[in-house]
Amino acid sequence: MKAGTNRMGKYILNRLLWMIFVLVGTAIVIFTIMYFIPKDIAKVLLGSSATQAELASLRERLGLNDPYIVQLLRYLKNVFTKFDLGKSYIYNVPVMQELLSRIPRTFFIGCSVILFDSLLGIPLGLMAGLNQNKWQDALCMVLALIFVSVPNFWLALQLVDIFAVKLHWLPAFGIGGIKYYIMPVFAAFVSGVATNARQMRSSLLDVTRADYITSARAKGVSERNVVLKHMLPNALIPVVTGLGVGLGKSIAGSVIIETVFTIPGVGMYLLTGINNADYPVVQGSIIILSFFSALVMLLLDIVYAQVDPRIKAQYSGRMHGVTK
Amino acid sequence: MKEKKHNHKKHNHENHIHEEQIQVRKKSMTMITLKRLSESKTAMIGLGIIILIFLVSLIGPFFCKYGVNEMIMADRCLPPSAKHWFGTDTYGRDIFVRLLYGGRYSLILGISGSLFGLAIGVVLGLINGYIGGAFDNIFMRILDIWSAIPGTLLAVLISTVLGPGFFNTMVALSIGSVPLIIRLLRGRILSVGHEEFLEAATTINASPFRIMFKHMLPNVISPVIVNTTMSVGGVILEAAALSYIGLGIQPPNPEWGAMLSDAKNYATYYPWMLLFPGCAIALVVLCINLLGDGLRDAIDPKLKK
Repeated sequence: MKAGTNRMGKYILNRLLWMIFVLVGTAIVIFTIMYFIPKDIAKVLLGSSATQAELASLRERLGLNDPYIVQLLRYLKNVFTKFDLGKSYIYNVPVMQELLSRIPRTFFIGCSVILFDSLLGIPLGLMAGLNQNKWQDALCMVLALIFVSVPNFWLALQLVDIFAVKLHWLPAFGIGGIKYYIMPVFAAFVSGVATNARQMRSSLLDVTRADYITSARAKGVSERNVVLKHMLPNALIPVVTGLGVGLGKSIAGSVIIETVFTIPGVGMYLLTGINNADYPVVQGSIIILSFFSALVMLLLDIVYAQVDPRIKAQYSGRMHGVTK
Repeated sequence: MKEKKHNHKKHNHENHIHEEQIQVRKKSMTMITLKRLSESKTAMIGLGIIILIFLVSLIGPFFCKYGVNEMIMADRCLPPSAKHWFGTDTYGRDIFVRLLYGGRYSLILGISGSLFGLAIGVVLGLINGYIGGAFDNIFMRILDIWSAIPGTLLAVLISTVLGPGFFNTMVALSIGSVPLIIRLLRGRILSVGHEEFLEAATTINASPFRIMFKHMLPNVISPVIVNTTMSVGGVILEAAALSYIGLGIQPPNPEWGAMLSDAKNYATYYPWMLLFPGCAIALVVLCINLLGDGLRDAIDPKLKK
């Protein structure tokens, strides 16, 4: 048992080290893509009336004259040793400071979305899968198809029109109490529910045909226990992966939802940065959002290792019935 | 002598039959898929509506009374009527005509975006599968980084750098789908990698290019095709979302997302400006998803439950 814990620790340590590599790689990729922006940043900032000398001094001050590799290394050093993502060109505020106040809002929306995705999507998929080819199945799948086809920003706009403008039940935009988050979260989770339900249904149907289900029934396990103890744990594994992808998506999708509801989160910040050609803001926001989704993946990998007996066997050394 | 000739003839005949058989079988693989697809009612409905929308969006504008960017100031913000089927927008442009034009953008962007990603993924995946070994190890690590950046963010980032425009938007939309395609291909290549036909191709000195595209590709492509078909709807949604936030296709081009973005501030007073473009997007994506589901079941009947 102790050996197992050690191996688990080793597994997590391995994943963490790998994570650092991925984060550095992500930062390099994002910096490099941003480096190729064809605009002259100094000209964008100073306008067309600036003199050559002004432009040159601004470029010098921003370090734009250095070669690519020097700029990259400086950026990486700042990001990973000082947690410094640079300063906004327009507002002259450190990007990190601004992001720190915004991250909780984006993350709150992302997590609530995932929560509702799983709370609604998994039961829907279960209902469809257990009643295959009956009306419940048809109903769930039709609903899922419609949910997955509706653009979330359009749904959001319609919600605002109905619940904020016509009925005055909910605030249309901005932040405040929990009331302000109801519509954004709803608009964002609808398509995820559909994806989850479809995934749950198909993986449940995969499991239904497995030999171990037949053998469980043959040895007289009650139908309720067949579903809860034999089918569900196995069928849930791909759904858990899907949830991680969903969280990544909803964090990335915050750009759109936050724009519709004017929520001052990371996504909104990113979009303002794009519109103002405020590139440190763009770069910093994208790096932070990517880091988040990478960390979620890491967390998921570790949860996965706990849930999936096959991976568990690899690190706990209990393969082929050998207990170390 | 005579006998030999006869033999030769017989041999030839057998050869002929053999070729015919092969041809029949080759043909039937695609035919079986298409036949299975045609048996699925929902897929056919989806396909029918998509073709209809596409044709109407190509031909329709020629029969319309109004130009796509024709502004009639006297007709601003009119509700749907016999004259303007879907009403007019704040500049007095006919929404129905704009939706027709916009259909081209959405459908072509969705399909070409998916195909572009597919092409990049297939080329990279095959090269990686062909070389394998240490290269594969390094390449997979690079893919880990590539897929660590969420697709939507990558699309936002790339369209910021490249700027707006049809081709740039297509590139931005497709890049995010590449890692998954390569992974799917890799899985399949690993499982067919040691099969005899590949060894045979290597022994007869087929060029790497020939091995990759003639021998490997047909054996590994089906899960990727399924994946790509299923992703077209998502790409259309993403294209609309990009245009909505001001990247991607720009106004006054009648892209559906851009139309929604134009209309969002007037939704309260003129709901039709928002309703119709949104319904158009949802309808197209729904039909494409129906077709995609049908094609998945047809290509891989094991998945059909």
